[in-house]
Amino acid sequence: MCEVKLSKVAFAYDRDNVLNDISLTVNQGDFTAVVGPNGAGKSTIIKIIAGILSPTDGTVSVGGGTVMAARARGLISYVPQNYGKNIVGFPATVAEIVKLGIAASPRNKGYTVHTVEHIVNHMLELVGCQELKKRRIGDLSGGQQQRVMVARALAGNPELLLLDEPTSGIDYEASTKIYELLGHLNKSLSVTVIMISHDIDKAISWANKVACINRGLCFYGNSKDFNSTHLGARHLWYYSG
Amino acid sequence: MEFLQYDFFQRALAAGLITALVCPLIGIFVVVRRQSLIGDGLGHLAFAGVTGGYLLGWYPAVGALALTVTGAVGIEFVRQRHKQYTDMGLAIFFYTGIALAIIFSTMTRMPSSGLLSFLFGSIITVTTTDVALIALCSVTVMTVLYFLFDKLMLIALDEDVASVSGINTPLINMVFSILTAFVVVVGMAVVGILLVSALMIVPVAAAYQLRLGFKKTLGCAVCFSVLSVLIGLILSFYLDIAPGGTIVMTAIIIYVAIAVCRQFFEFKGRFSHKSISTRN
Repeated sequence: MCEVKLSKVAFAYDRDNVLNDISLTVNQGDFTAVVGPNGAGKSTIIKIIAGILSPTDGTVSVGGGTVMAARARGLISYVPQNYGKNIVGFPATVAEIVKLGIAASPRNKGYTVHTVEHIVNHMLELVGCQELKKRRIGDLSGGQQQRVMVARALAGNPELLLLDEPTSGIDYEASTKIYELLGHLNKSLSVTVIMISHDIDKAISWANKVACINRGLCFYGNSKDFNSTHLGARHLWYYSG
Repeated sequence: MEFLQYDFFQRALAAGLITALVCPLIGIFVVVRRQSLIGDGLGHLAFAGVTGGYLLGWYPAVGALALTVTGAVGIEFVRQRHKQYTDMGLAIFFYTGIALAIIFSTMTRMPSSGLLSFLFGSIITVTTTDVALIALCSVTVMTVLYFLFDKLMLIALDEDVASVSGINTPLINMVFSILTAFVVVVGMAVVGILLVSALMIVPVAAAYQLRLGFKKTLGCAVCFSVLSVLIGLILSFYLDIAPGGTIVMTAIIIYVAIAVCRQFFEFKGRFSHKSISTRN
């Protein structure tokens, strides 16, 4: 079970409080979209759950233990927002990138070359990129790169997938495909997904939970409830963001 | 093949080929991590180590290894704590190395011929002990790289992603920094302190242009490196010049040749594509 529990979490960069008193529980198998205006602390909260940042106050538990214990067990996989600059000149094929997800994970030990190859093919098939297997990652479009990165993240067989705006800088069609893919993976693999989204309509369509953040927790619950009760908040940050 | 009859050339060749194998192995990670100048910084520390070792009566390569490894640990320590000032931290170590080298060399009154052989490399001064030390360091580097290869690759792609995946990134980065120091000392005898970094970077840069996958890029980089060392050493023997310059210039010629060929084929491809479109 990979439940994520935040209890009274706060975070400050120097003296600037970015997050205050955030408490929420993401259950195993949930697809949670984190939404909010720019500078609301969305990336900060994902980084706290991933263990990249430590909260200045409060506690975080993943899978019933600390974040560091979950990382050491290979429970968490993370897809950052700004892969782009590293990927452009990175001399690796799509297959090599996906293999990294298997080789680097503490959960996958002692796989034969044949098994690794099978997992790579399976992951690429899941994200619809099998025909790109031998292409260089830097030669792909932004949408294709993000799908390959999701395949890499899933190849290590994680229980929690964290994504920081996976659709930023991607056109409408490609971003719809990413949402479809995440929704499908969440259901078929029972992976808990927490992703930051700027597209509220798509987030509501595909995620079953929404966490609305604006330096504190404004809303956390079923996405359908958010749709009907928080239209005012949506209207506000469409213009302030 | 007259050159192969000489013992000194055989030693230089053995040392050179081992260096050619190991330099791109570290170099590819140095390039993808965007730390191409780290070899230069460590090279200057190695120079201080050689002169400092001479002052203390140590074997020069041992002095170089001690100070270079210490410097590599220091550079990585600063990088981990002050990520936004990585360049500045590297520059401070760089200048410390050269300043110490000047102080130590004036204190020891080391003969200028000895200093020059460390700076520019030499095929005459490579000893059997040098070859043994180079082989030992290289085997250590290759063994550690074999086990850390995937982890280093993921760290190079994205350090945060690697750490979230359960990789102990501070430890592996520190090990990598120490391995880089080993390779600088390995390359010092043949290529020279000033150009050892070039043998890590230029063959990798040449292979980069072929737009292949990671392992194929690495394979090509090793081939270019071996070719550069072979041609460079032979030219150095016949022309009686320091091997460091000839080896690195050979590598640069390979780089330029690939760049020109690539431009030519890209232009040809675009031209033929245009003519087909016009005809249609």
